[in-house]
Amino acid sequence: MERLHTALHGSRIVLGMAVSMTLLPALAPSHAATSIRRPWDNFVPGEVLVKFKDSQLRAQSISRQAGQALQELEPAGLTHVKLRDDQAVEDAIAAYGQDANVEYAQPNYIYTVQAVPNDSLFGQLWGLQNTGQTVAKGQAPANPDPTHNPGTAGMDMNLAPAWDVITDCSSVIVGVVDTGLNYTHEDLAANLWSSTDAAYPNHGSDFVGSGGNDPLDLNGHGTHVSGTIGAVGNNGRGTTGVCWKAKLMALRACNTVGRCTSASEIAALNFGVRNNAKVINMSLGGPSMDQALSDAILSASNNDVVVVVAAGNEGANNDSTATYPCNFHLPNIICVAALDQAYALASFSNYGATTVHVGAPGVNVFSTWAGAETTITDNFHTAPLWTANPPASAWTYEQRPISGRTFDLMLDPSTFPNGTYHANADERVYKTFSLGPARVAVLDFLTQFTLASGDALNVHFRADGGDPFAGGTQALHATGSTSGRIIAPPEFDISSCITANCTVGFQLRSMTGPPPSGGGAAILAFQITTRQLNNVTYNVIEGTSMATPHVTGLAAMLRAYNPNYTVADVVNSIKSGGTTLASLAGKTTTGKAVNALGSLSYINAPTGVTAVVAH
Amino acid sequence: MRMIRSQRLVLLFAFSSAALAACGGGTNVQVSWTANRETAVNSQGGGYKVYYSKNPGFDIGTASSLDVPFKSAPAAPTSATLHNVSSGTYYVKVVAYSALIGPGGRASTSAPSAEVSVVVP
Repeated sequence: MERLHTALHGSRIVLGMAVSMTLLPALAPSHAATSIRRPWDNFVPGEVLVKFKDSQLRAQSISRQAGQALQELEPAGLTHVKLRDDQAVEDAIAAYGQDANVEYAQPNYIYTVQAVPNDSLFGQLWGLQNTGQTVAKGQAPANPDPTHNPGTAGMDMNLAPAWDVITDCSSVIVGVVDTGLNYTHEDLAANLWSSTDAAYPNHGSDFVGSGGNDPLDLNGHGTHVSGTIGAVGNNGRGTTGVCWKAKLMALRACNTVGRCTSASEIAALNFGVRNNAKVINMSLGGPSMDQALSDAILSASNNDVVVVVAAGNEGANNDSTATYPCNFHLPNIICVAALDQAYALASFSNYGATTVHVGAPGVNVFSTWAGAETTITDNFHTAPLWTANPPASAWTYEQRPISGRTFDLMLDPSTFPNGTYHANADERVYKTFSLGPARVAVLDFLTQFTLASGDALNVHFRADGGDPFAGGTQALHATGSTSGRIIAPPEFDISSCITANCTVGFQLRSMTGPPPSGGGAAILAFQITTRQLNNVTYNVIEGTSMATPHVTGLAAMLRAYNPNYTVADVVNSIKSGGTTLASLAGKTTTGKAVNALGSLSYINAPTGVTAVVAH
Repeated sequence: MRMIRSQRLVLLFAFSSAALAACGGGTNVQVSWTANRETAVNSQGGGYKVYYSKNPGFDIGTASSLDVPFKSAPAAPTSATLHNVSSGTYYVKVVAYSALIGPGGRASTSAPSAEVSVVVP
């Protein structure tokens, strides 16, 4: 089954596609919209960040709310707090807001990495040197984007002449706040930061969940970003980064499925700043104003650290629909839009005449990866078939046209979005897959559902076969409705299900009774991807995530060449040294694509000029 | 309005960097600036140019100038003297340059600094 190319990444892009992506016929809602509480809301349930004025009194404040401190962040007083079970995030923020010792309280927001999947390999790197080549597929299974592939010769970062000046950026530590880094990769291992502290033997640290110190990349995104900044150049293998020699610091703040939080990003930033990173890459974004993250990036600025961030992949105008950290308006932030192989603004790229600064190559970007991938798709009608329990369950298979293409769907009821589901339904459908050997397994699918409040679409998996709703693990519990649209839930990490008998199932459970009409659920584009880590895989993906590290690499190059450069100098030379591009006019503050030679040869106007009469 | 003495007008007519550097006596103008942080400015082939004119808001393309090249590490000079300057108000701007060749073969030079003025009695 062919994937819906853009629907899988970020929630806003899905909303943007809503008009065309719906199961027809669309019915007017026949009942009042119920409150929708989806597990992929944009903050972590059961947690908040609280900035206390007096750290000494922190414990009292937290215990008054019967909460628990998970970790202390910087600056002093900022605390990651777990809430008591019956306290909603909104209620906790209000309660802490009443506390005289609290400066502010906010959700622990969720961010997503900004990729769009889609030297022997230097010829693939059009963004570094565009010869009008056609970018081919890497070993990992993502297919190149056909748009402007091949592109236009010369539409690149103008790195070849810059490399005559400098290729070694290893005097500048570059932090990569991302899904981690494949530090065993043949094209990265020589270009990594190493700590003098024995507590951090793996070239960085891990800030996801309870953390630990191993930033190994289980996703691939962070490894891809890192390779664009600093894959080893001129070593006769693989790719090359903007910098041939680099010192990459792995700051794992995003999990196996590319989700990160305010708390993990702040901890990662603070670690980078403390350990002398001078350029930090954040190829991630989220829709919520986040005071704590903004403060952390400002603190990095005050410590002479440039932070390069992604504009986002919703095809949206950030001037009107904010993406953070892009929209923070801090002096050390460079926000990057993505360009394709003809230097047109990529179709998915966000832009903003007052918020996004420059463009850089972000389509069909070839770089290092976490490991080999295997994708299992399922069209719901190829044997072995899915097991229905009870056998008379209303789940059915059907092909339907959606937006002019034919899709395989699994539906309950078969008439959805007409008709409605059964009262007291407990209708399950599941199938057993053989997964592995692999380190990681990720489940994703698209769905549309309309459920009465209290009824649910559940997704479970079970490592030892059989009904996953009897002894399995819940991946998703969704209620409410998708408002008549097909949406992409986040991917689910089902790595604990890597066995020969991994059963994945869907359950429509009615506790309160269905709406009179229009109730039900549909599943499509079902896919399980497994990833076996290795040190030799490369992949072609796209996104503003991929544009960002091109600029990060340039920032490192500028700092390595000009050791006296300040944050302001780096930012100014990148913005001023770029190439004016018609496709970015009115889309970025500069209207420019980055140009490595232009920025290297850029010179700030002298300052502090005085002229006095001397005899 | 200060009177301009006639013998100084002759000198002014001959205002070029070579003439200024060669002549002794008379009034000098000391121009100084903050060091640029670009490595290429403070390297062989880099340096500064001091432009001066009696016209405020002057165009450096048509103004007189004094070259202040990098001579030795660690940095290019950050001051220069205009020698034997006739009386009047002078406007001064400083430009930094390097030996790098920019995109399209363009020379690597900065925009002019903010303009300052000095009154020579």
